[in-house]
Amino acid sequence: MSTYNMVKQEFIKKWITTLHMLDCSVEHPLNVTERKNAIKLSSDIAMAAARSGSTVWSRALISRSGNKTANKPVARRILKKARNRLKNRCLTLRRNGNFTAKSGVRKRTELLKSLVPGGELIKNKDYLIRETLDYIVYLRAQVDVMRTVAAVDSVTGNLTNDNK
Amino acid sequence: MNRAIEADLLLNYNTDMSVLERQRAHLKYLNPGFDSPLAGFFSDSSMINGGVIDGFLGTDGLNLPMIYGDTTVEGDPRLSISPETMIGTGNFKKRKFDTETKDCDGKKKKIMMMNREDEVEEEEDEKSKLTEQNNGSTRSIKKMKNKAKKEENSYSSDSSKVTIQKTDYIHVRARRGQATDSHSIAERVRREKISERMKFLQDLVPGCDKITGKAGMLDEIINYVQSLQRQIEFLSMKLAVVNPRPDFDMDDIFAKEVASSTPMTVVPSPEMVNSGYSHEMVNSGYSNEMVSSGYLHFNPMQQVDTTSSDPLSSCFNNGQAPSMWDSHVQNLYGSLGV
Repeated sequence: MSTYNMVKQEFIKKWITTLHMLDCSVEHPLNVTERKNAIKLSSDIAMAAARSGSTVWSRALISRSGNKTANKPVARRILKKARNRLKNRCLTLRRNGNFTAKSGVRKRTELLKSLVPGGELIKNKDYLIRETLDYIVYLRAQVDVMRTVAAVDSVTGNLTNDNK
Repeated sequence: MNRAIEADLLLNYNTDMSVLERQRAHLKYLNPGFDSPLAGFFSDSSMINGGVIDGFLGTDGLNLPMIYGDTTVEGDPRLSISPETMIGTGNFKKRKFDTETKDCDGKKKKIMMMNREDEVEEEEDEKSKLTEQNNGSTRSIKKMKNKAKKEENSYSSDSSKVTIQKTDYIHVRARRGQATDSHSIAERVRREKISERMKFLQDLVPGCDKITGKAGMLDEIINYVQSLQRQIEFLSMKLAVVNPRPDFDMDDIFAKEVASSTPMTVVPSPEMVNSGYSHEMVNSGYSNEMVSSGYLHFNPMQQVDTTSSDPLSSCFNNGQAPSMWDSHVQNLYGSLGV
């Protein structure tokens, strides 16, 4: 459990820094989806940075989102397109997953490879499962942190509404 | 000296262990420099991938221990990690896969993989020496290769497969009634690895106890990863809706922490996370910039808090001290190397 807490702490720290970095250098986004993308991008980078290095998925995630933060004013537009690309890919593969539900282990491993960032590069199946394990732990940490932050925010939102 | 170390290692493995664990011990013995647990976790993979570990992102000093090498979780049913799931370190728990104890005396001695013909005599001598010491063991692994040869083999291979033949030669004594073909031994090792990982996954992914087949397990994993990713999408959307600015959520967290009013008791988990966070920061003395910048937030918060209990307005007032925060952030981010 202490390891998991350390994971969450790492993630929080990195997320704070990335959010501040993104926020200081770009004009404030007004659109909700832009904000959401900024949050998600920063949290993805934070998650991969918290894992720091020796997993394939973290490197793939960083390289996937790294070029977006290099040029900050242009980052938002590139970010939107990249997000759309990734979302489309995930959607089509989910549909394929339903069809191949009976086709055995191989198709499922291909699907898993598409889900885990950098999974296509891994040829060995037990490596893939290792990477998936690690990725799941960090995903769960990310979800936990975001959920608590959202809860705190909703509470503070209620408070401000009450005070007003 | 090699022989002494080998005999020592073999003595430690008197009880029944799987081929897998002995292989790991062997790899660990090969690479004594890989001491950090993080590297040890990927000891064989990193070796195969060219031996470069952790040059990426410039680690800020955090060597996260192996995630699933931790002891069992007390309060979290979702994340129960059994203690015998350590990979790549020296402290093995003896797991019983499918081993049965047989006598050494009645076994046939078969050498699985030979690298050199000239080493046969050496092996015979060592075998006779070591079998006396290993009377109770069912299997034994002989490290017959020279050290230079091992290193050369391990560093020259850069394929991503972890088969025994590619990296090292491990001589395995076959058990009774099992195939002695080298390929089947390798297959058995691979299968053991995969089944061990499946057990990890059963601990991680909830609701996987009933499913035994590989395909079903993979289905569950895929579903879980997809659901987690969807949750992240949803939560980030929620955060974006709630906050007027993307960086305000953290300020709110700190504000709530300092204010310590009754609403914090409503949500116990952020309290746990935040208190654990600050507690760990103070104790470990780690990443001093974050500590100082966190405390920077606390002080102006307390001054403002006496006047108004509105967290959002206090966040607005806190915007006057962003310069030091930003410099700290830049330092920290630069140290990350991203």
